[in-house]
Amino acid sequence: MMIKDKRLITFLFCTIISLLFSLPVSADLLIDDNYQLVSKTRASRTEYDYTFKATATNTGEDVEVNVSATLTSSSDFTTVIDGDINFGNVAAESSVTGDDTFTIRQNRSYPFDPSALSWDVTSENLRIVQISSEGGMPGDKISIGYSGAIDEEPIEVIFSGMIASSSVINLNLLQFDVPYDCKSGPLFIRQGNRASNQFFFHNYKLFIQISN
Amino acid sequence: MSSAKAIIITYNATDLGSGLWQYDYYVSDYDFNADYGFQIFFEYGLYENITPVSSPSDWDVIAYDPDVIFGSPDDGAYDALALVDGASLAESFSVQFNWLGTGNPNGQYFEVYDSDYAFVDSGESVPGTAPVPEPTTMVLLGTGLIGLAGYRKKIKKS
Repeated sequence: MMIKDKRLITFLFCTIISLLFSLPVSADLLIDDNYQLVSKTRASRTEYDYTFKATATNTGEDVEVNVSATLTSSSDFTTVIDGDINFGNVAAESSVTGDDTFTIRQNRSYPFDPSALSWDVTSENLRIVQISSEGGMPGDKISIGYSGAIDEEPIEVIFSGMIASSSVINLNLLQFDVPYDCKSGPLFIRQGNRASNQFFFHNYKLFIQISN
Repeated sequence: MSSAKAIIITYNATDLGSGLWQYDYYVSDYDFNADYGFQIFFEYGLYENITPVSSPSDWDVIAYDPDVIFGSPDDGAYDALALVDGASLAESFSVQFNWLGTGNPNGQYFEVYDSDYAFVDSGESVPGTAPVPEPTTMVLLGTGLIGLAGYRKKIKKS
């Protein structure tokens, strides 16, 4: 019965726990108004394509990872030709001008209305995206797949309020050993001040996500 | 294909009063085929309310004001598109506008484009005649001169 349970747990760990990944909108990120015009080309009798560079500013106290922005227009006279920009990581209280550009097409027969254009700025949180193990018993290895980490910065596994012994296997994958003195508790990973989503761990039982 | 000759655009600037001016453009030394055209640019900060007034019948003309696109000032333009091969250049292309600059409006940068709106040629418009004062200015000037003449005559008599 015990072996059957362990197989079942392993199967469930390996197949079921694959979490949906979403990019949250950050309140600490904004796109500055000081766009840099890169080029202007004529598209039709009255329409011109304007290509700009943009700058993202992080007003928060933590680094924002894989920052990206998408421009949308509600104007019939301004079309977004390419509205996606990537900025990479933006350090706390700093700005990054992306190498990437965005392009709008403006019908010059009508005045340009910047209020008709809006940015959706997102960054990637540190997230556990998959957990799998050989069983979940004390001493067993638990593999944690994650995303949104900052390169070359140490990551800690926090299990039941304590730093657990862990090692990075490769990019976005680490392992930790289930401690002998603790069978259950909240589990998450941490990089500096950035904490991931949390799971409740109990050996013999599934990991259940308890926070985003 | 349009003519490869060096296009010349001359202008006459007329002060219509209250900041309203009119350019009358004369285009020469160029043959425009259908769907070719030219644009005369109105510099940001110097012009507004650019309105086509008249043009030769073989042309479709539009105009738009200078604007600021995401913080970048961009010029307005007067755009004339030839509707037939060898479109007539016999009459003037006229446009009215509000002049925001000091002194009189000057020459303007222009471009010729092909049927794909691609650049073909460019240049700067050159003055045809001196700016023509508006009628009310002429009346005021004339009245002043008559007054001066009368005053001089009165002084001579005394």
